Amino acid sequence: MRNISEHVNVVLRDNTPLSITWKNRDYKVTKIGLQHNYYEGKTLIHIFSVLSGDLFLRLKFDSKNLTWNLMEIYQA
Amino acid sequence: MEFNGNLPSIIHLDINSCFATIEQQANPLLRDKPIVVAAYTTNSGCILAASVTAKKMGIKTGMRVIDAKRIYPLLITLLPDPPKYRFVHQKIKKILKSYSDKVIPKSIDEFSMKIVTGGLWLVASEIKKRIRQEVGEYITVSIGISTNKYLAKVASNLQKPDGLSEINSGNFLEVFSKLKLTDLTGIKRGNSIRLNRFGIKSVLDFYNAPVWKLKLAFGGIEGLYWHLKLHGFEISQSAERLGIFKQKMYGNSYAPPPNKKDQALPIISKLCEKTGFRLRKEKAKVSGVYLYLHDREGKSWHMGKKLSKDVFKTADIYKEIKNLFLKSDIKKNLRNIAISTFNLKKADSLQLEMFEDVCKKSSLTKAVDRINKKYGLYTIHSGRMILDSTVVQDRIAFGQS
Repeated sequence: MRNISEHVNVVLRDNTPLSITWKNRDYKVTKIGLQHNYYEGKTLIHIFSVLSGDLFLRLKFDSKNLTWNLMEIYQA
Repeated sequence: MEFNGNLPSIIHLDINSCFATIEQQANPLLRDKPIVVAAYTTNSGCILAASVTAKKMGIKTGMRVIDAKRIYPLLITLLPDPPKYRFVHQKIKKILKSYSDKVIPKSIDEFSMKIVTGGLWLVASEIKKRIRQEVGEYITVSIGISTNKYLAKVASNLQKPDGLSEINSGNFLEVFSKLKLTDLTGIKRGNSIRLNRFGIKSVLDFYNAPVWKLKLAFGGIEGLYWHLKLHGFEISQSAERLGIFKQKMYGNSYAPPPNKKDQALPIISKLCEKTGFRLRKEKAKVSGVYLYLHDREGKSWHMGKKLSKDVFKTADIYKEIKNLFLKSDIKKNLRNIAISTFNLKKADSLQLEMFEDVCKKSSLTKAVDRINKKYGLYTIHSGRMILDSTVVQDRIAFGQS
């Protein structure tokens, strides 16, 4: 696992990520492992654990600021 | 006494290798690989959950990371992610609630539920299917069915992972004959030796033992409870409940990493903050505190104290525990710090004091708790806790079983 914590752009369909743009490169989401949420204080945070081919990405969506962050990546 | 002849009505559900399986659900690249979730990823970190593949290699919960890596050097070690596990817990709870209004979470990965309408085998199969569809296809559960909670749990352990077993009046002898005493929940080495002394060497001996013998073996009423449990009867709530609270104490512990090994008081303060918050959430007050310290040279020290008055405020708990700490001969180089509070009572009434406005103190504490609940724990905290919020991390306690 590599911690990243960088802002990314995410294209959604039906409230789930379809593709991610990180460092000017697009990553197509091929599988959603788990989508969970929790509160940081009163802010609802959504976490999407997704695959793009053989790359695992952990995305964080802040429902207050409406921002996406790439938190972690992992390559087998 | 005969075995309970009623139709089974209790389902016990256990998420297989809970934390590890949830991590493998979230990250499909980790599936079917030996992975562990450990308190710390360093060599001395304690393994909290091992994946099914890791377990097959002999890696077990409770082992140190270094010992597991001796078995499999390429072992993947992850840190726990409590929000993820709580989320899965809530989703499974929601599924179970759609079958019964009597669902009791026993811990983060175990549930017990009562269904009186029969057809438990069908319900259990459907629950397993729904968990796969609605929570995650990689998450498997073992389900046990019986006439009481205890045997339902024993049944859930019969087949792992992804099992479904039943203990009833028709098959209990066959099931018991295949089990060792230590296969029973609550019977480990100590209790096993205790039973052996009375000639009870197998589960069938245990089942057939008269109540008087069990009372002697366990030193009192516990013997009767074991007799009832093994015969498929539920211990009545009034008998099971020894006090107002089923919970007998609240506490927290922390194993400081090497760079925090000398910061005992700020850590104790933070542990008091967590314990106090949990205590007040359960509307309880206490009149006893306890401190345990263990240093890196293997020396340990502990002391408890019964208090002359009930306390509920973090600062009061801290004050008492700090007094214990000052009496300790271990103050630095700590490996483990644990605090707990005991003598629980319901906080429905307050004892007024001559020199202190207890009602004001209670209102202030409630207000702080509300703010911390809304904006996150430690939003408002004591000034003495001059540590960053990650020092005592969010952990999931091992629940009752």
